[in-house]
Amino acid sequence: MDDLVIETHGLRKSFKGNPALAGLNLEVPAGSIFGFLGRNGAGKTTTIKLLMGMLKPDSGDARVFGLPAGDTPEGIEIRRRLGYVTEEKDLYPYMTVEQIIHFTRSFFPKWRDVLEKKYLKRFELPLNRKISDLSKGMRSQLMLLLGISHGAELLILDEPTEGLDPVVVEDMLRELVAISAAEGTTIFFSSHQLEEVEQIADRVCIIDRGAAVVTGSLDDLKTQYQRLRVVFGEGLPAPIQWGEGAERVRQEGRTVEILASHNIEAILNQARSLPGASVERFPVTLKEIFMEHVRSN
Amino acid sequence: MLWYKNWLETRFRLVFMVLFAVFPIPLMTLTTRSMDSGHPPPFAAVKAAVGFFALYYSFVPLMLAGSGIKTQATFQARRGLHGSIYYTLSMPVSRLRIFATRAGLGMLEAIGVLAIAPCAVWIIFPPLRMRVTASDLLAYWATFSVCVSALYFLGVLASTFLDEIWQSWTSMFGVVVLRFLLDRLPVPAPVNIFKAMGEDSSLFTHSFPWARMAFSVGAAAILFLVGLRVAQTREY
Repeated sequence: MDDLVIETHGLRKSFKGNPALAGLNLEVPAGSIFGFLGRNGAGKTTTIKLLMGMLKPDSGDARVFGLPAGDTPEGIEIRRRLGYVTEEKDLYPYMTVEQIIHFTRSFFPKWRDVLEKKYLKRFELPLNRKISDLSKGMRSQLMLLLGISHGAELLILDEPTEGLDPVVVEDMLRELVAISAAEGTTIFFSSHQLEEVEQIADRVCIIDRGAAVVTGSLDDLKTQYQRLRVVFGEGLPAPIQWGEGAERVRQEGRTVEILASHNIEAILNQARSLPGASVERFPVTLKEIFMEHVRSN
Repeated sequence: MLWYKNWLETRFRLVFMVLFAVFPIPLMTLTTRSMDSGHPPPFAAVKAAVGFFALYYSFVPLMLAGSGIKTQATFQARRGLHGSIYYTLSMPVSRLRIFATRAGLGMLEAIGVLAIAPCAVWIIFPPLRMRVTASDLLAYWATFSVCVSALYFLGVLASTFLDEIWQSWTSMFGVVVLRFLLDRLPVPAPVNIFKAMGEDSSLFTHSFPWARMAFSVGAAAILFLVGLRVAQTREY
């Protein structure tokens, strides 16, 4: 089994009696680009804050690099080995780009000047400009630079592309893939932008109402899930009880569409055995899988 | 480098507090000069004036107090402050270090600004026919700095759970109320630290108010520990 960089078991957290996490189980393998998906308020940011030691769980266990998260010496060691891009992309507004680099590098003895220079040049960040004068896109890039340059083994990005224009989003996603490939950095990013996750992630977890509803490799999920279209030449047969694995069935005229999560061959055989039925199978997108699980919940 | 962040965050506030501390000196100088030709003012009036003076200067540390986790607004930047809490907390340092560095820097800045208080006394006392030596002034600065530490850490504690503007005003209001109550309630003598900075200060007694200084240090230590506990247990 792969080494796990992030592990949570039965993680629970509520705010004023409202559950934000309801027994979250999560496993993020080393070296992966892991998309953490969910609607707004599903529990993504709460999970990240628990991993960063900013919140304390009501129960359950959160580990990063095998160490317990929290404001403890182990928690400090975790933060020494990871880079974090916050949802708000807020840094100290009174510092310049140069000052925040100077400030951040003091906490990381393994700071890599080569990477700092490389990404300063790539992102075209002006050293003497105040952070308050940077655009949100530039602040995201600066946070990414700060995370990468200290040699982080894990980058945790909370909605990294939120509020950015499409060109910056495209550049950022490309950069994340390049960083993961070049440095072997594990990338854990939360998002509700399904197309972006599908573009770069190799593993995903869909979270809804504080619990993981789907988790696994994106390729496996796409193989596992299929959309079947059954068209009847003559009148429709009596209502059909489809086999196990048929997650959603929708009928329009003489066409029945089935979203199947497993047991595909059996459902196909069942459809083919019906009189006058022709059957086609199609791959599904991550969006279809997401919508199916989030809607049904 | 936490001190560097805190310095960038507090430097304009420090300049403002220097101006605040200097502000009454020309007014008091003019007032005392106008008295110079007549009879010296009653000793009790001078003591009361120093008492008021002590209350005014006790606001200095309250304005410089902070816990280091919340980013404080500066003259240059007021936006994007809340979100930067998360950047501070993502650094590989304990909340103890974040809290202690900010509290320590603020206290040092306050002690520096409070050096203006003995300078003011040095300017104002001679026209009032009050004799004051360099050692009296140094002793007054030391006494003031120690006694004010309890008030400073009250401000630090307030900053762990109140937003910036509320922290300053609430602590200032709290200090005025505290002064009012201590003057009227039958509390043990060492508890009234304002007297050690004002009417019973070393300027008049020519000795250190050890009991009041010890009480202030003890109260400051307790307030520091309570503030630290709040900072460590608070969720962001």
